[in-house]
Amino acid sequence: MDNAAFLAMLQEAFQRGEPLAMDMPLAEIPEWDSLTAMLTLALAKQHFGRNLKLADFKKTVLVKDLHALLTES
Amino acid sequence: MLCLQNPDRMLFSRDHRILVTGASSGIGRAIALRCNALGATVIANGREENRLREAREQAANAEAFALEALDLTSDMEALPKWVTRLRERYGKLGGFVHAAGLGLTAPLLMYNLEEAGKLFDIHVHAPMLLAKGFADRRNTIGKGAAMLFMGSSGAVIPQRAKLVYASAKGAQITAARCLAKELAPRGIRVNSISPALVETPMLEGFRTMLGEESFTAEKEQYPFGLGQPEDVAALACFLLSEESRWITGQNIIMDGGRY
Ligand SMILES: NC(=O)c1ccc[n+]([C@@H]2O[C@H](COP(=O)([O-])OP(=O)(O)OC[C@H]3O[C@@H](n4cnc5c(N)ncnc54)[C@H](OP(=O)(O)O)[C@@H]3O)[C@@H](O)[C@H]2O)c1
Repeated sequence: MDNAAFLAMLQEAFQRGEPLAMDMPLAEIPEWDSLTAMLTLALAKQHFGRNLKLADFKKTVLVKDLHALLTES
Repeated sequence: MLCLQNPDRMLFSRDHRILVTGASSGIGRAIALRCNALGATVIANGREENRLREAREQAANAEAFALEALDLTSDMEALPKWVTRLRERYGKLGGFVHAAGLGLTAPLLMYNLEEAGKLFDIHVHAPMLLAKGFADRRNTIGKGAAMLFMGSSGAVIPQRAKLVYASAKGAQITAARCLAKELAPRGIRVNSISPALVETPMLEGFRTMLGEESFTAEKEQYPFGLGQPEDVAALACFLLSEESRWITGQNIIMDGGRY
């Protein structure tokens, strides 16, 4: 999945009108809450076969960190 | 009825939009009419356009009573997108009431998958997919929004020949309680009302099946008589409004004393 497709997938999951960018801090995205974090876990499993835990998100600061976490093999 | 906490204003404002399914008949119609009379814009859903038009003829503010005929079980996967289209047409939604439903009185020996599937579709799958569309941040006002599901006292008090209907309602009530937990951080409240017998067209089917003698005996179990759709509508409006802002995840039984 390329960056544009990843951002589009995340935007839909976040139910957000405005586009996301890789260098956005997650903490400044109002839609990034406990529910979207849970949804992101499901996406990680569904699209990337990754079994993540909520605690794994503690290390993520920017959207690109999330991308790395979800896609790293 | 005016707002209890602020008696100078109506319970809802005109830009508070409430989607009501089952609005063409019985309980759903009474809820749609009452919400409309109390100031809200109602988006009324049922399968039959002509029955919805009849409902609108009774509306206090017909210009704020929109009709959206759709069979909710015809393409359930498309329901979240249908809610998005409603938002595009009318604006963000503040309330969602699921009062569409089917009754079924059938003992275990008559259990069949097709009939059970239809009941679970209209009482569980369709409302959850509608809820999915409603809870989408782009479609809802968020804080101050409320969902309401029409359960049944039969889900709590077991009755003969009600296993499919009661278990579908039980699933719906439990799903609503889970939703309440899930959506509380977004300021969305979720409750259920579980009525016992209410005089609507649905009850007529039950009455015919039971026969007049048994129906009269059942009716005598109600010290305050059978329910009227307006009795349910009064509680529904309260639960949809800010007056009940401290109530979520509840299933409130209304049974006129028959328990
Ligand atoms: N009446 C009671 O004693 C009682 C007691 C406890 C709980 N309930 C529950 O309360 C709710 C309302 O019941 P009611 O007595 O008011 O029933 P009703 O008068 O028979 O009304 C049922 C409504 O559901 C709509 N509907 C059914 N299937 C639909 C579908 N596939 N798509 C869209 N709309 C559909 C009908 O639309 P159309 O007009 O197009 O057919 C109608 O508006 C139901 O969930 C019922 O189980 C009723």
